Amino acid sequence: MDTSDTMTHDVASIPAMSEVPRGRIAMWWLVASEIVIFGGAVCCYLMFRFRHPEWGALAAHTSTPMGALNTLVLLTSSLNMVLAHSAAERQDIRAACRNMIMAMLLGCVFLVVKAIEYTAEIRQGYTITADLFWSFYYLLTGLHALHVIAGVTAIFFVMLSASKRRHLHRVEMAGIYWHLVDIVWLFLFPLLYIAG
Amino acid sequence: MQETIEQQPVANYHRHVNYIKIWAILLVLLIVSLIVGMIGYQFFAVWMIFTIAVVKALMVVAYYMHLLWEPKFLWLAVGFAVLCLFFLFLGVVPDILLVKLQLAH
Amino acid sequence: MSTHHAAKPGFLGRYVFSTDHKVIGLQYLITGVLMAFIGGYLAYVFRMQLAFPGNSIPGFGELVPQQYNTFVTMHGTIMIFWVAMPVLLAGFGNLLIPLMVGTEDMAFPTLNMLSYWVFFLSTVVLLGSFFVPGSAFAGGWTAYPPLSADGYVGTPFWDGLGGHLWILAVALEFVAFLMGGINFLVTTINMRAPGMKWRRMPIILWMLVIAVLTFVFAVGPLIAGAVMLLLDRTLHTGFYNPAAGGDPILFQHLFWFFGHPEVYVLLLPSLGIICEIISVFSRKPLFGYRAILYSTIVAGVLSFVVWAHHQFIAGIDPRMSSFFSITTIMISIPFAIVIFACIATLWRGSIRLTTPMLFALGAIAEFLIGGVTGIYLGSSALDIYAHDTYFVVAHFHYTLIPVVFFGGLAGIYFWFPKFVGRTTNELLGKVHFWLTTISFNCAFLPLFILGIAGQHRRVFDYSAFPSLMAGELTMLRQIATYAVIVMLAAQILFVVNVVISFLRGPKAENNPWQANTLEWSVASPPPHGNFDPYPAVYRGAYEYSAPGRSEDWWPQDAP
Repeated sequence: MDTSDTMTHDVASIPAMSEVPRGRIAMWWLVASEIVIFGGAVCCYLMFRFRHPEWGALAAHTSTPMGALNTLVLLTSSLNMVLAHSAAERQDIRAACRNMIMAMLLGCVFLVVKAIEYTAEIRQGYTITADLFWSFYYLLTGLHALHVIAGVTAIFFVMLSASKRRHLHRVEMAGIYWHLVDIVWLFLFPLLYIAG
Repeated sequence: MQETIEQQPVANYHRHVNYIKIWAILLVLLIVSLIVGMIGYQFFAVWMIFTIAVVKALMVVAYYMHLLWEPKFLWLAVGFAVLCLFFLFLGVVPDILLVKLQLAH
Repeated sequence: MSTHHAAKPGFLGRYVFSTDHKVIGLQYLITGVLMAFIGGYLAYVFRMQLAFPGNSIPGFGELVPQQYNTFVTMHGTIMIFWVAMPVLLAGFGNLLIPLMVGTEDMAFPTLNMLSYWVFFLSTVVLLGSFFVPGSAFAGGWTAYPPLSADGYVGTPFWDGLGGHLWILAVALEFVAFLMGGINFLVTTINMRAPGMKWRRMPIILWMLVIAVLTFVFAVGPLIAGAVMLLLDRTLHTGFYNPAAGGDPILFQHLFWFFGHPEVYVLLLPSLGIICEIISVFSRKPLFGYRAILYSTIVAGVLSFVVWAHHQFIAGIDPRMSSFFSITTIMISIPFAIVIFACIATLWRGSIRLTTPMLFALGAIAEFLIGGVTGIYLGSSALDIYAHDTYFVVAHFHYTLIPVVFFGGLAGIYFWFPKFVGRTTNELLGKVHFWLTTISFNCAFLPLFILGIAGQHRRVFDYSAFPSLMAGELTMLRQIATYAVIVMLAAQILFVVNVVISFLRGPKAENNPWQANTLEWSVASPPPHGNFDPYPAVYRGAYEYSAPGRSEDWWPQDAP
């Protein structure tokens, strides 16, 4: 049945029920789903870490200075990303792009440091099959590194469009993802490096 | 409710704090956790280090990701994800730690 | 209003790579139904083997044990992940959510299209795995290690290819549903029509939202677990290998931490469909909207703490067994409330026994059998005897077939006029219903008896077990097999009905069932962009037989 003649409201615009932009809601659901993916893996690691007290000696072979350097790199990269977000809200395209480039560069620095670490560890014979600890180490850091690559790629495309003043709100979305990658590392670092 | 999504890409209810100050606090916390890791007391160190990690993560979530200004249902989304992990951990851990596997050699 | 295009896109843009939620929903639905026939064919083959061991199977040939394992595995995988999920969650979710909340499309139409094509890719990978060397995965749809992981240690990478592809296909599918699920959530949260308060939403929207939430929160650990399984298979790490310090029970936990909520991911949309249909065809408001809603939320939360009842026989900590027994029996309470609410809706209603109503009622009646046997199995003492027998097989087919099959068919018959624009044949539909119901019961009731008699699952040939080859047990197996054949044959009626109605069925009115929800206020099939102008909502979805009105329905968008 046709009820269109009974409309009383303005229908020229698509109304949004909540004030939160839909992209932001979607990003937070993505974050929630990533929390359970990484969290699931970390839970498994923790249980086996409790089961195998001897892993403390193995964890001593990971390089704490390198890990700390990478923490610093990712924290700084996150800072750049949030500065890019606030610049994008001010419509300051140059500052936004500059900060995104910095964030990407630092993301690449992270990967390079990680690659150097992997190389040193594999040289010493600590491969993914050497011990269950190393299996978990490569699983967790490898999954995280894949997310770093994905994050850098996302920031790159967001930057391309932002430099043409298009889709500026996406800077924030890429930022939310990038901070998530940062947070995951904030937990992996103590789990795998310092609290050995 | 009046805003339309098409014309209003970013709803500006976020406050921008001094991000560099947050970054400095995060760095201090990082250094503290590194120092704690070097001191001997194992039990104390582990608790300190993980408390600091949680504090750091919360700061990033609150200020960099602006969850502080988001509506409660998004807090709930993140919170329930963490709660699920507790369920998972508590349900599985007895089988990993308490029930010893007997290997047939 | 940017999506009200002036220029019409071409055939590919309109029907294949379309971003329209209705097209995507139908794509999911059709893919799911086609996969159901593949899954059904596999069931036919291995049921024939069980009833007549060693005989050549008409339409297939001789079945060897390895093939039997493959077929059972793929039957489970296909029916759960490639039939139930795409039809109930993705199919109906895509079709109904934007229309029922009163908006033009999903929040992210392109992401939605991508979701379907990733799903399509996963289907291709899964079906392709039948044709690789060593054939498809044969480790059971639950893929328990060590069979799924350790069994391949020392064998070359390529020999386990079927299993690798199985993991890849499931992973792709999860990615597709995560994308689709986030879309569902954002659309429901953000794009409801003015006046569509949370409390006014049709209950099926709540069910879909809670199902998606359950999926999103439960799937994560299994994704991590699947990566570990893949590493165990390909690089021979030891996550699930006790000799290397790992533990195979970890995978069981990760699998069922997802697998049990997954049951509710399937159940909830179907219950939503049933609630809608029962309310419409009883011409009565849904009984206890809030009770249903809160029960569903409670069930959604509880579903995260019941998973280990699938593992009572795996040697889990007995103290945890008690805990999981209690939670499992607890979770039957919210579902009992929902079922009672459906029955109370029928009470003194003016019931119209149309085809969708028959399927909805059938679903409730049959689901009760599945649910009640679930309470038996929830107590670990009985489960330890029954779990590896056909009693469990009968139990979960009595839950999943009413939910997926009856619920899904009820939904298809109910919304067919809306989305195709033509009405189905009622007589054919009713014959289809009765044939399906009778053959379904004949196929699965015997399995309860066989299970209690001690017939184990996952056995290729019972000839080696004299006690199970007793005359009456063999007869029960054969009855079940004949019934499966009848049940599959009955689906031909459904196909005929759908095809003929699609081609030359009578044109459907906008609101053939006199229902209230928003999708019935637009043309059949709804145009691109759905609403013009956008609707406003004035009341809940269940104002049937309101006193003082000449009509016994009161659409949500009528002032």
